[in-house]
Amino acid sequence: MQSIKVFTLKKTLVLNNKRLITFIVGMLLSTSLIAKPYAYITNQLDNSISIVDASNNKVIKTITVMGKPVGVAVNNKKSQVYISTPNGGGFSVLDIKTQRKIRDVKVGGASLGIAVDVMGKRVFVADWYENTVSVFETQSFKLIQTIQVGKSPSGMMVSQDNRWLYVANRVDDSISKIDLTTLKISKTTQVGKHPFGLSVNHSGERIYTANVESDDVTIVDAIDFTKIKTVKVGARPYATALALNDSLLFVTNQDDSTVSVIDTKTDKVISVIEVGEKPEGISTHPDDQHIYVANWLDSTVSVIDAKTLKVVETIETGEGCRAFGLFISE
Amino acid sequence: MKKISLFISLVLFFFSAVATAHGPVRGKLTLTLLIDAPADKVWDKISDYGDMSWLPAIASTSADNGNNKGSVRVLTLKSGGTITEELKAYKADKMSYKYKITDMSTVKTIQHAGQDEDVPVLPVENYQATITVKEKGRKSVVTWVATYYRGYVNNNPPEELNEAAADAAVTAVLTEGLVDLAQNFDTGANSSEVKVTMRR
Repeated sequence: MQSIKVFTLKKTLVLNNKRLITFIVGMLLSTSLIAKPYAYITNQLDNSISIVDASNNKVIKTITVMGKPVGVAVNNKKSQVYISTPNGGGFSVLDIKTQRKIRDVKVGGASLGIAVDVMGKRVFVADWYENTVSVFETQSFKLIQTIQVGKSPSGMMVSQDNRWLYVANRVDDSISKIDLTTLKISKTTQVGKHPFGLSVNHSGERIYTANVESDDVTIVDAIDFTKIKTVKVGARPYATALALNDSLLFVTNQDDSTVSVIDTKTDKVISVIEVGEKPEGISTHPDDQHIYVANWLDSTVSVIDAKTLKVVETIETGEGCRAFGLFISE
Repeated sequence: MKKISLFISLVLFFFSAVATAHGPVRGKLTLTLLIDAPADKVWDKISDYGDMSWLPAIASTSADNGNNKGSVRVLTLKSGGTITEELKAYKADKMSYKYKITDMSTVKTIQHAGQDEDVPVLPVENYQATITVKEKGRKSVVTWVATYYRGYVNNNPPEELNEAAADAAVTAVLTEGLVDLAQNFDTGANSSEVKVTMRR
């Protein structure tokens, strides 16, 4: 009996030491600001996530997430990543510190678009069959509310002031803004045909939607919710990303295997960059200069330098990579 | 007159609702075949985008702009239907080209969920494929990758337009094509040698 007690005590001491060391190392890391950015690439056909160290573009780990993972939302405040799983009827929660899956959350239907509020306190999940956006808190992942939206909601984005959630209602050819205080739709407006991905700029003044069926981007005034302009891009555009202080908008064209670059001052296409086959998810590195594009058919990620408008790197991932959403951590 | 235009707009409304609703998932079908012939010889057989005579199901082919990007070819099938395709990319140095179906004739019309549904020659939607020849020693490997959605774009498809129908039809056409191509060089080539991988 006595020996067991001693052993337990020793174990506790060791554990405490480990925790202390982890704490100290953690402090050192955070104070010296060497936290690395990671890109979380959903491989839909492989039921896995490729975790890319975005400081050297190497895949550091591939983890299993079942349910045909598609959407990604990074919660930098809580060091978590949320992965929507359309066939799993919910989303999975990954921990950035350990790079492991820590839990699954059931939503029902088929989860697709996913986003986090600026404070990291709420996660929003769009369901393309139920036509809803479900709101979960990120402490214990309890459902706060389910909001009825337009048909087949897909891409979502939260404004920097944390006041609005924008959602693309794909089959309704519209987007809605949801008031994040009341969790009610404030306005809805028509855009091009089949809006899928969307972006809102940092000032919260403009929204850009990629319209799959009309091969264009709709620019919407985020305040009065009216259409400003339509810009033609390539075939079946999927999603958008802003870079270089929101001066450039990048749009993935699935059927052309290209990315269109729009100058946001003139709203004109200034370049078309060849990437891999069936480019889909697109997200900007925290350096605001490098754009990551998931090429579904090639199972690769193309990295574009926004300054030179050239592909500077191609990273091998898993089969059918989609990475729909803001998929790079800070 | 008013009634007619109302009717037409209703029809258009239903048509567009059907045509734009989503739900199906894109599939990726990969077929590969090792052919006992040098890659340049095999490529030579298939390199003319306007000549699909090597595919047994095709009666005739006409392309409006040769092997140039954007060239539109119309395949007339022996069964009588037509498939219209657009050349999306042509890489002679890589012995590869990519094309997309832009139009197809209808085989039959079925009733499903209270509506008429056209069943096209190939029961698929947004079909794109790439055919590539690669050198493998003195032999060559031909890879044919097709991506497409099932023919029915709403939930609960009829069996003529579901995933199984799409996969079976595309697999049959491409397998037949590869075997026939191989038989130009090796009369013993058969469909059991074609490796088929379907992922969705």
